[in-house]
Amino acid sequence: MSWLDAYTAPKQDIPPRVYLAISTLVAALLMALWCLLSYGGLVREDFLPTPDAVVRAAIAGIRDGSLLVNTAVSVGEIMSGFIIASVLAVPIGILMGSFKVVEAAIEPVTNFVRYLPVSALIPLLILWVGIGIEEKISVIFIGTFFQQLILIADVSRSVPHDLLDVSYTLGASRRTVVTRVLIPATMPGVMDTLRVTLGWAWTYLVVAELVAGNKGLGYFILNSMRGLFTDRIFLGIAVIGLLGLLTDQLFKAGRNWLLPWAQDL
Amino acid sequence: MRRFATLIAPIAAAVLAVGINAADPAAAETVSIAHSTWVGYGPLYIARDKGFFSKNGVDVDLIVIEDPKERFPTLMADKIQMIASTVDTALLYMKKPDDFQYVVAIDDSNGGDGIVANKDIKTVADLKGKSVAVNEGSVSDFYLNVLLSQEGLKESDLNVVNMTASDAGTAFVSKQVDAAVTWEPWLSRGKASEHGHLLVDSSTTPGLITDVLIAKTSWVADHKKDVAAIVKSWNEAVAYYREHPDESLEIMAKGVGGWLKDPKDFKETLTGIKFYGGEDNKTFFGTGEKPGPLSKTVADAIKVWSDQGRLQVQTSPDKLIDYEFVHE
Amino acid sequence: MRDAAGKAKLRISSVTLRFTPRTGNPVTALEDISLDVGPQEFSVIVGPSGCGKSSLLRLIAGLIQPTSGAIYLDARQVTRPGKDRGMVFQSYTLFHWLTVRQNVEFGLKIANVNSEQRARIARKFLAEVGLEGFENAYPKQLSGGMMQRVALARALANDPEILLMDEPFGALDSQTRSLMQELLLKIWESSHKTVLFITHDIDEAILLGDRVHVMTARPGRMKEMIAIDIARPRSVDVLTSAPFAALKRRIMALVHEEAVRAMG
Repeated sequence: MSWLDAYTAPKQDIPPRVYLAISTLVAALLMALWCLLSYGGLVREDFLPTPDAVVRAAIAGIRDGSLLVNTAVSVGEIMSGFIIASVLAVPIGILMGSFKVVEAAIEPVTNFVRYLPVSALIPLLILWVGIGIEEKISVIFIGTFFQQLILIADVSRSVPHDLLDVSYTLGASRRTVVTRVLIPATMPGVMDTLRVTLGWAWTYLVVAELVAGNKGLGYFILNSMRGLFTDRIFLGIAVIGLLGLLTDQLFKAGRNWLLPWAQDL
Repeated sequence: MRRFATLIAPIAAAVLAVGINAADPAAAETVSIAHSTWVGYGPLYIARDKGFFSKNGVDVDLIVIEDPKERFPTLMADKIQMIASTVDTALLYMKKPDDFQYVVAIDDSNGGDGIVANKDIKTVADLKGKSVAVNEGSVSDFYLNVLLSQEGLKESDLNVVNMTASDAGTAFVSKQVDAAVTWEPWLSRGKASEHGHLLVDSSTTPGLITDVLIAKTSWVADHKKDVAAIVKSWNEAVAYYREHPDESLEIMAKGVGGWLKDPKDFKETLTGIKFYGGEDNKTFFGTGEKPGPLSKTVADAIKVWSDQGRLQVQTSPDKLIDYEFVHE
Repeated sequence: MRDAAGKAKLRISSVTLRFTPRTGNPVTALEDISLDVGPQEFSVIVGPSGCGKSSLLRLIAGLIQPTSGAIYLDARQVTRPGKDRGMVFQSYTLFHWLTVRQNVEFGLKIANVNSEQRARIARKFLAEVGLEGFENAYPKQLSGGMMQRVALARALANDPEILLMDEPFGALDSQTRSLMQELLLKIWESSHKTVLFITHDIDEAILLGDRVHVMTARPGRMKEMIAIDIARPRSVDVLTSAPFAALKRRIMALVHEEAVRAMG
């Protein structure tokens, strides 16, 4: 089989070295495009910073400690909002997917709230939650929780009926079926949902830090937009992107370690 | 790696579309003017609907862009030719000492902006040590700084909490902060709350919070006829408003639209500003030899933003004020 | 067949199953079905697709309830699922987060059997299905045939009163299916469990069963019962014997009749 055949068959595995080579090549091409557009003067400097301008902004941020502080603050907000959302969404979602009563109660409301622009809810949040860090965590929570509910409910729903049935015929009670069969069966899907939704949580960072923010990557980006400091804007975006990539890989590794029996991603 | 690439790709594509188009030579001669939804810009619609623009030989397109963070980049990308903005905001976006020119003044905030505070805060000096909600890097921030410097205070003497002007109003009414720098309708709501009162408003500082029409210096140099026509049309529109207030109200409310589309709301909010007509502009701008109050406002803004580290270039009022058009 | 006291092991008594799907008219899946399965008997049910064979098995397992009629196991009425009626499904129902051994031990663990005994029982049944050495494998590492073997071992390890099998080899290729049939025959020879087996493969029915019950098309009723008088122990050689051919002709005719009716 020629390599062309080998690499264009659906679901066909390719060697890790090839995978890495292709990813690196694409990243390198995009980097080259960026350099061409910026150094080549094809795009104005105040709209597209040069790579070295971003690096210089990064060095300045590291030197005065602001980059680290902003990153730490944002990571704290994201993780808090995400963890609270996940801790609630996983059990409720699992129940929602497998018990029609729960689904009837919760799913219509969830589908409605899911589409609300969170920034429109900010005045209400100020009124009910205040302007402290709880408000920021609430924004992250609202943005993440309802999406997680729907996805996890789907995971729960797709646990095969036969799997639960066979458990009954092995003597399991309803409670045992939920704890010893339903929940373990949903674990790979739940982990994937958490991995994906953590990425979405990051997109709420700027909205979260709109109110009473004076630190954080979102605030840093907002502040840099005023005055169009594009090198700093790109720095902020890049840091968020890298953090997202990092947590993504951590999740994948965690899944393989905790759930070695699951189908490979 | 993959994630980074997929993050950059759409940004690259978008920037490509915006940036490369910027090299487009002046296609049509339509002048696009961008502004936010505010009563101050009403006369622009009188000038349009009563035919002053076309009578004076200029084709004008009026566009709404609410946020200066979007309005200024659009100007810098040459997607539009002029914008209406407060005097101080333009300075934030300057990358060269004479990037922009102020060609005519639009309106002055006369009570439409202000600070609401708890009743026990009786003067601006009493703000010391209190929590104050204000939109950092905005005209509200500028206003606050000027007031503070008059009392010998600095922002660092306060506990500044950053948020938009309307969120600031909400936060004050919900008792989350001791004071808020904001605008209508939040000034009225703050006054009406049982714990709050109006500490100060812009009627005590005329000429400070002022909207002007701004354009790129290079564009002004190449389009003097258009700029003159626009300034003339503006002054005529203000004169028309003063002679025919009711008809003008209908035109302005309909034109500006948004939360002001009801003439009743428009009229009420109008009490918080004053328009600059032909004579007002002459006085406000002054001349190159004898500059008017505008020069002081620009100088104040340069100082405030410079102190905050927000100014990206050294500049001065005479580099930015174009005295030519208001005196034609 | 009845035991000395004249009691059937499993008695299905005038069972009717009617339901209304979400869209459409009410459906009668099973109509007035009566059937006895004697102790240690290997009974097979054949019939055209959609005749309700699977529903009947689920009724016996207690996973669904009849609209009217009753089902008795050892003279006690069946109303809910339990370990006395073990089941093997056509789909792969192994718990993929547990090893092979943990799968087999699942029912035992629920019954609070201590770990030493559990391990012993699991080893025994895994050996019976020919999977010793695979104790610590995960289902994702097994082939379809191996997974069904584990499912069988898991059901048997629980020592059910009756084993219900719903086309357990239907998803396997014919070679594997053949091997599984031989395996089942061998296991049954040593345990003589009461089995109720569903298939649409007539060869399989005759090879495995003591009695073959032919069901009609929907609404499913019992059409005819045919006794399989081929001596045990049996092997796949049975498939080419003369008595086999005669039985097959007879059963095929009956099923074909119903299949034509099912097509409408």
